[in-house]
Amino acid sequence: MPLTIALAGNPNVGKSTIFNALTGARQHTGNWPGKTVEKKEGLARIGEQDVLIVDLPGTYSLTAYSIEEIITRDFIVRDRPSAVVAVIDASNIERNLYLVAQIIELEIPLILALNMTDLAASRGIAIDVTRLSEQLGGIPVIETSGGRVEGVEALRTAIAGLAEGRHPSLHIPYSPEIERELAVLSEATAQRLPAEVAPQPRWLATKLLEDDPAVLDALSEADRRALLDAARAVRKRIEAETGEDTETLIADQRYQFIGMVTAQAVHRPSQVVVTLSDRIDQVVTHRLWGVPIFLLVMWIVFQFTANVSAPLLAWVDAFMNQTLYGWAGRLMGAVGLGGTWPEALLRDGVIAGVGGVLVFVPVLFFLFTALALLEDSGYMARAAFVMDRVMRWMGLQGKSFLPMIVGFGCTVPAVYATRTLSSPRERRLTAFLATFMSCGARLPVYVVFGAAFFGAQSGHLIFAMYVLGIVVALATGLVLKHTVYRGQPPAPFVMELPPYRMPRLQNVLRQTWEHTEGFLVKAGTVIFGVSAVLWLLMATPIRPGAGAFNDVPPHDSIFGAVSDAIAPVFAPAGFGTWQASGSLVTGFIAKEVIVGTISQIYAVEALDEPAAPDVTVPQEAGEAALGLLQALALTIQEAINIVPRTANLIPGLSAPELQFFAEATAQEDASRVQAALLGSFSESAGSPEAGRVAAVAFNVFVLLYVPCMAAVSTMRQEFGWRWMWAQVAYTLGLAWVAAVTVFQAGRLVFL
Amino acid sequence: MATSTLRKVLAAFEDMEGPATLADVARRLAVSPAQLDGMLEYWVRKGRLRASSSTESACASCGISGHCPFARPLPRRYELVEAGATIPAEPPVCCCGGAECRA
Repeated sequence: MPLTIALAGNPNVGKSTIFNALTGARQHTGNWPGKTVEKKEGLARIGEQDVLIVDLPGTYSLTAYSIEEIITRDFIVRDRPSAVVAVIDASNIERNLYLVAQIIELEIPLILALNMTDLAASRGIAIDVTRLSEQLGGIPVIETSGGRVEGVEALRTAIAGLAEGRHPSLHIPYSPEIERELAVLSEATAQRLPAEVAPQPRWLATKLLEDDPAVLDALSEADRRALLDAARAVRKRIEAETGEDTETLIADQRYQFIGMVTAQAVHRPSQVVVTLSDRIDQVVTHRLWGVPIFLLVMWIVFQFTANVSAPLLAWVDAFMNQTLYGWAGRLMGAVGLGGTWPEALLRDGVIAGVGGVLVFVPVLFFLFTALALLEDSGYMARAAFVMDRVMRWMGLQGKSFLPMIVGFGCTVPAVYATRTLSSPRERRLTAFLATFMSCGARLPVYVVFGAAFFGAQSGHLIFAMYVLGIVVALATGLVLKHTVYRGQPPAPFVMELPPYRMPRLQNVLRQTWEHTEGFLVKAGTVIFGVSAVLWLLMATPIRPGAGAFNDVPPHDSIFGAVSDAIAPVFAPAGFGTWQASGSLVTGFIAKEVIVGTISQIYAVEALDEPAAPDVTVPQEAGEAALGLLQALALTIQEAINIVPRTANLIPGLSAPELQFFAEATAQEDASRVQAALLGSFSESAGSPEAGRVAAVAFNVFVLLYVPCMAAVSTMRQEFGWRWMWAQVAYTLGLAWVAAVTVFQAGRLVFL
Repeated sequence: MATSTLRKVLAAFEDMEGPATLADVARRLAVSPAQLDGMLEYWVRKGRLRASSSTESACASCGISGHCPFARPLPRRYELVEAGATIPAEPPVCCCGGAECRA
C-alpha cells in the first residue's frame, strides 16, 4: 500500500511551497466532492517508493466550525494517512502550535516542518529546534524555510523514517479531573466501538468533552446517543467540580501546554527589534515632520499627475478634437449626411462631449498609479496615522482620514467607507467632510483651467485645490465640533501599521486599470447620455424666431437661456456667464460632465476648421501614430523631471531638467477649448488678469459644491434626508461664499 | 478558574472600555500576539467576543470586485459581548455600497 502524507497547517504558512518542493511538476489539482475548498494531490519519489502527498486546506484548528476544519479533520481521521506533515510559521509559532496540539491528539505519525524561520529571525525570534522536538515528545522538527533544498531533503528523510514505522507519541497533559474523566469516557468509547471504527478512543473522548458531536456523525443512532449521554454526564461532573465550562478548560490547558513548550524552545527578544520599517516610520510619522512629509508626498503626486500626463493628454485632445472630429465629418459626408443634424449630434454632441472627458484618461491613469503606489508601499496607512493628531483637533480620529483619502478617488465609496467607524456621530461627520476631498472627477476641471490659465504651472493649481479641500474639511470639522457635537470626545484610534514593502507592479497596474476602466465605462454611459441630451437642448431654440433646430446660436438655445437666467448668481465670483453656469448645472449629474459641457459649448460656438483637402486619412493616421510616439517619449522625460523639480523645492538649489523634446510641448497650449476659456473668463471678469482670478474662483466652486447626484443619494441612503439636505445646502452656500471671497479678495490683492 | 489564561483574556476586555485590537490586548496581558490570536478567536466562537471586520470585504457594485485601491484593510477589533446578549448580524462592510453588497 503506497504511503500517503497529508500536509496540514494554518493558512499562508508556505504549505504550497513545501508541496511543490516535494512533488515537483507532478501535482494535479482537484476539488473535494461537494465542496468548494480545493485540495492538491501529487506524487513524490521518496527513497524507493512513490508517496502520495495531499495538501489539505489551511486551518487554525480541528474543531467543526468551518469547512476547512471539517475537511482536514475528516481526512486525517477517516482516510488515516500514513503521516501528517504539519507546516508551521516560525514567526507566529504559538498560534500554529494549537493545530499541532490537536493533530498530536489524533495519535498519528507527525513531522513538524518549521517554515519562515528567516522571518522569525528578522523579528529577533530564535527557535531551538532540538528543544522543540524534545518538548513535543521527540517528533521530528525540520527547518524548511523558503523550500530550500537541504530542508526539503531532511523532510524527505524524515518521511522515509516514518515509512519504516518509527514514530514517537505524546499525550497532551490535562488537569487531574479532566484526565480522570477522559479515562472514563475513553473506556466507554472503546467498549462500545470496535477499534477499526474508533482507532483513537482518547481523541474521540476529548472531542466529546469539547461538546463536538460531529465526530459521531458516522455512527449508528444508538451508539451516538449512548456516547453523547455519557459525555453529557461527564461534562456535568467536571463543571460541578471546577465551576468552569469543560470546553474552555480543555482549550485553556492546550494553551498552557503550548506556553510550556515555547517557554523552553522559543526565545523572544526582550526589546522590540527595530526593523527598516520602524526606522522609516521614525521619520515619516514624526510628530513634527509627519504632516509636512505628507503634504510633500501629495505635492509630488499632483506634480506627477499633471506633468507626466500632459503630453498624452495633449495627444488624446488633438486626436479626439481634430483627427477624429475630422474623420467623423468625412464619414458623414460620404454617406450623404454632411451638414445635417445627425452630423452635428455626432461631432458636436458625442465627440465633443464624450471626447472632452476621455481626454483626461491619461490624467486619471497617472493619478491612480501614484495613489496605488503609495497604497501598496504601505504609506497610506501612515498618512492616516500622521493625520490622527490633526483629526483629533477637530473631534475626529485618524481612522476618519481613511474614508477621506478614499474621497480622492470617489465620494460615493468614501461615504460607504465610513462604515468602518464604530461611532454613528463620527460616521456622519466623516462622510460630511469626505465630500470636500477632490474626487477624480473634479481633476479634469482643474487640469483644463490649470493648462489654460497657468500653463506649465498648472500643477500648482491642482495641488492648491487638493489642499484647499482638506483645509475646508478640517475647518468644517472644527466648526461642527464646537456646535453640533460640542462636548463629545472622539473614540480612541487603534491601528496597526503594515510593514513597508516594494510596491508590486501587478497590484499597481491592476488597481490603476480597474479605476480607469470605471471612468471609461462612465464616459460611455452617463456622459454619453448627458452629452446627447445637452446637444439636443443646445440645438433647440428657446423661442420661435431665435433660429431653427440645429441652427441656433447657443445663447438662444433652451440650454443657453436657462443657464443665462442662473448666470447673474455667479457674477460676484467673476464667472457670471451662461457657459460657466450651464456647465455647473450639468455638473450636478457628475463632475466629469462639467468639462464635457464646456467642450460641447465651445465646440458649437467655434467655427469648424476644415481638414486640409490634400491630407488623406492614412496620412492623418500616420501623423497621429507619430504624435503618440512623441507623447510617450515626453511622458518618460516628464517622469524623470519629477526628481529635479522636487529637489528644486529646496531654497537655493537649481537642478537642471531634461529638455530633449522641449519643442513638442508647445502643442499643450493649442487646445481651442482652453483658448475659448481664456477669452470667456477674461471678458466676464473684466480683464485677462481678473479672468485668471475668476478661473481660480470657478475651480474653488467646483471643489466645494455638491459632489454629484450619486454622492447625494448615498448620503440619503446612509444618513437620511435631513443630513442629505444639510449637506446640499451647506456645500452650495459654502462654495458660493468661497468663490466670491476668492474672486473679490484676489482682485484686491493681485490687481 | 478565574485565573486561567483564557479567562484572563475576558477579564482584560471587562477592564477595558470599548473595542480593542489583538495588539492592544497582547500589550495589556504582556503576551505575544501569536499566543493571543487563537484565544480571541476561541471567545468569538463561544459568543463572548464580537469581532468587527475591516474594509477588506468584497465590493461588488462599483466593478472593483474587492480590489479597491482606496479601501484599506484595518486590523480586526474585538469587543466584549455581555453574557446572555445576542450577537446582531454584522452588516457587510463595503467601500462602494451597491445593491449586491447591501443585500
